[in-house]
Amino acid sequence: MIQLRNVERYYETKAGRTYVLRNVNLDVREGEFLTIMGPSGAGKSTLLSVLGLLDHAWRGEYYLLGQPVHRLSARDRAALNRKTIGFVFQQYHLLDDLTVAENLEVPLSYRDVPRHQRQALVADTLDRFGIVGKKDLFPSQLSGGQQQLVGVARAVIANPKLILADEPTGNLHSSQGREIMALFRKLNEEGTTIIQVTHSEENARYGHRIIQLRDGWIVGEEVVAAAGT
Amino acid sequence: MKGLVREIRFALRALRKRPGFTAVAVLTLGLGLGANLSIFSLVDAALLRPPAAVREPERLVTLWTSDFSGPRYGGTSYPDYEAIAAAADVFAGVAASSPRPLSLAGVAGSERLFGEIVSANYFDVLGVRPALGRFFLPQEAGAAGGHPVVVLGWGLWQRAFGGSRDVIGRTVRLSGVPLTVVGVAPPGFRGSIRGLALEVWVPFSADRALLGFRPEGRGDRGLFVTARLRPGVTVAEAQARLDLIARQLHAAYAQEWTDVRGRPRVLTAVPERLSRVPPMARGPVVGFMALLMAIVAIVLLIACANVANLLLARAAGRQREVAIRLALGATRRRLVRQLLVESLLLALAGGALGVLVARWTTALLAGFHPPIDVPLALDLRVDGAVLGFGLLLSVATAVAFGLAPALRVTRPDLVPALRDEGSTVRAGGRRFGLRNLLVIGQVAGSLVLLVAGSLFLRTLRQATRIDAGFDPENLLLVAFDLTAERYDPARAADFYRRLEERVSALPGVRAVTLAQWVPLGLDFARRGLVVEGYQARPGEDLEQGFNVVGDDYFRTLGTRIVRGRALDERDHAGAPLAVVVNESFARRYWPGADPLGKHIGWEGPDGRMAEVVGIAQDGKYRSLGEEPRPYFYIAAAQVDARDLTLHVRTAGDPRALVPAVRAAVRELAPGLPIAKLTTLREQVAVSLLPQRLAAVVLGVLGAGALLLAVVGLHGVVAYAVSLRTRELGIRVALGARPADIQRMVLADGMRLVAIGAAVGLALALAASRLLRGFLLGGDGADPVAFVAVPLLLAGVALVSAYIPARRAGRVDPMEALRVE
Repeated sequence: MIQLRNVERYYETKAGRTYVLRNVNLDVREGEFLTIMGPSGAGKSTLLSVLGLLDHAWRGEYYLLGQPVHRLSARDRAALNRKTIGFVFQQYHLLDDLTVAENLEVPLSYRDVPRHQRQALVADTLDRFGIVGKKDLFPSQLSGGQQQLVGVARAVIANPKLILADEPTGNLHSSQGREIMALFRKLNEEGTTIIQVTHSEENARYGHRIIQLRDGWIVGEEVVAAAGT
Repeated sequence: MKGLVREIRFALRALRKRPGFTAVAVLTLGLGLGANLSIFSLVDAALLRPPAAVREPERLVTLWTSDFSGPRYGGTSYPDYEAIAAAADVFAGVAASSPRPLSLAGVAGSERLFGEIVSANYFDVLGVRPALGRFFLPQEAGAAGGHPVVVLGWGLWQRAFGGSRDVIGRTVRLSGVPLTVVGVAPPGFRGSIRGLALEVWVPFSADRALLGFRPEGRGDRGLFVTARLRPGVTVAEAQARLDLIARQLHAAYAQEWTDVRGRPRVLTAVPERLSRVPPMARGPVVGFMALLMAIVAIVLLIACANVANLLLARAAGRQREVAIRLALGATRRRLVRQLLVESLLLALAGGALGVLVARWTTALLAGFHPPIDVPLALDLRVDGAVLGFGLLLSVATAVAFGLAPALRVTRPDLVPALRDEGSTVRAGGRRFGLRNLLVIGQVAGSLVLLVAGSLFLRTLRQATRIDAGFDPENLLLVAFDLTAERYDPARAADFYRRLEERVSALPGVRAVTLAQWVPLGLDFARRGLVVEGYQARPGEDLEQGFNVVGDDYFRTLGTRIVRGRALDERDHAGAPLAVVVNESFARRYWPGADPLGKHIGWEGPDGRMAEVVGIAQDGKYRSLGEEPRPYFYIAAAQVDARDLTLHVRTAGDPRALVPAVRAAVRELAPGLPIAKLTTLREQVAVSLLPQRLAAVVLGVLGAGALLLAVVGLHGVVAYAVSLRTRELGIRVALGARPADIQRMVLADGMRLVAIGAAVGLALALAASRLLRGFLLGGDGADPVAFVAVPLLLAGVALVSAYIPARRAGRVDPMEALRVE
């Protein structure tokens, strides 16, 4: 599904070039659940942004579903992003002045989904995630775990092939975190490819494979023997 | 106190740290305050400031005799003045004066100026002391004649005599009368009519020719009367005494003391502070000043809203600082005070800039001389009163723009600013509700000013389409005042006849005529009439406007004769009196009958019956906006007319003919001053001066206000974008295209503009009703002004909101995602 070849990302500073990603080569299969780990500043989130087609200032080759991303225009990349990718953020990033249902509707509105379909999809998703009772609440009225549940629901509502999750349980206590990770595993089992960034060894065990990043380099790779609990 | 000094120091440091913000705020406030101080200095000079060099003005009252046609405030006759002056129990002194155009003979020909013919006690009553020499002696009182003395104004003394002290005792020729200079008035003293540059004072007794009225005539009511109350006497007591005098005068002179409605005339005392503008003109003048003050107040409010917006934007960046201060134990009151001190410093700096602006505009206004034949001189300056007003206004301004942001930023619920930002992101505008409100107010205010300005512009355009009943193009006007030059009627007639002949012969001249009054000029004469075959209703006003015109008047002016004939050489001094009336006159007095051959007569010493020989088309006589009114024309050859204006119809630019006309006048009457030289087009422009001024003032202020509003809108949208960077980044991450983001940001900005425009349109509609009196013919509901201006505003607003919206469309989603 994803092939990265010699991908590099750097910033020009007064002191010269500062590399964030160096010579990254990575293959991700369709249906895989990949975990990216590494210390702070290793380049994990940057790699996620490159994968999510939000960062354009990199060099190298990137194929997503067979499409050469490195040759696509900004407009085509944005279109590919809309068609393929859903995001889950550590800080949930729900829009505070919108209700749960309205938050879920946002990605659909940007995909030009007609209004009646949007409402049907929102209703389905609310049902699927068991948050129908919360649909008219504002984010501030939800617990952290509930907010992240909405965040995940929002990421999947447009039926993406790939979910990118940046520390999805970083702000949650452990039981809430486990629920969210179980949800990711379920989505993965239903066929969605997932790439997560995490510091948590426990969460990493939910995936199939772990790669280690350090100073922009991929320094290690590990196949997870048995799924986490 | 020590705390305050420290706060001022902190505030200065804070302002210095953000020079861009400080400069924009001071500039904005400076312009707003400057506009207010400029208008206030006008109000101060016209209405508020006590007269210069006058002692205890609070004891002065002006006295008015009600007019024959009814209005309460009119001039007083000399015999009536004497009757009032006898009431020594309430008045310490009663003075009379009458302004007059005069000419002063100098080395380089005559200079035309305005002076006052006054009672000998004039300066005593006003309590003015001479700067040099003396004023008039008691024996110089009365209208008996024989005391050829004159007092010069300070400005004239400086200008014409170089301020030389030996001017006392010298003889000057004023309108041909030799007079001995006995004194010089103090600097600043300009006589008893505010706004008029009066430069010489002559006692009634100096010369009968200078008087211009019959002092024995009780019907000649041209005097301004000023009285000084005895110490302890109130205006009410003086009024009671005047009521008694009026009753006595009515008993003794029933005919002269009964008005057109059959009621006895009345005398009214008005305190000096309420008669700086003559009471009959006070209403419109105060109304106009109030309008101007309202306009500049809107501008200042917009400026305040802008600075408040800037402060709110800054406040957002200071929440952390404020939260720390609150956490360290500062009270909210203390913090508000600190922030208000900053606002006050900004406002005072703005006020100082405003004073500079006002000094500049007052100098500009003082140098502006509209082309009218009376010398206007309002003592416009930035004095203590203006400075005091500026200080008060600055403090009020500081509170107006500073209080809300100060209260907002110190709200206790902002303490969480110390913690990390919350995990949710606000998506709407609730967080800057006050700022939105300010932008709405700015848009509304600027829309009101612009709509009002465009209404005046439209009225000016409309004015060019009004059929005034004459052709204003290519007509030169040259006025003389031969009465002031002591020409007798025969000599005046001879002069005019020869002048007409000479000018007719000049190349490029198509027609020449004479007339006493110029259409749409400031002078408008009315006469009480007797109309043959017309039964006046009780109390009906039979005074109608008229003009005294020479041969060929109608052809020269381009006024059509609808029936009968024009006045011409057949209507000479010895011929039966002839008159031409206009269509409205004919319709009003002889509906359905043939007016030709009917007779009208007028009151006065030369009152005789005249035959209607022709009917002229209706025209505009006083203003372009007036309804058709009855009007009639008398032949100049058949009355004593010594202050006529030469009307010259030219083939090309009438101004090109000026040197030739001047040469002709010099040849015929060396030294004769030309009272006024203009063109009819300019005269029409003068009559539109209030509308033109209003259009310019409103247009300039409206454009300034629009600029401020647009800057404010830009600021609000840019600020909203900066607050929403994370949200916008998330939206991009969720799939929003740049165009989606731009549309959203633009829509938020334009929603404010739409609300502001709706409020502004409602206000403008209300304002247009108030302005109806100033607009010609229009009902104020002008579709162009009410559609084009909002569209223009929307277009400008769209551009100003688009700039930050475009930036928003390029927001980097990495910003939103970066958590490491």
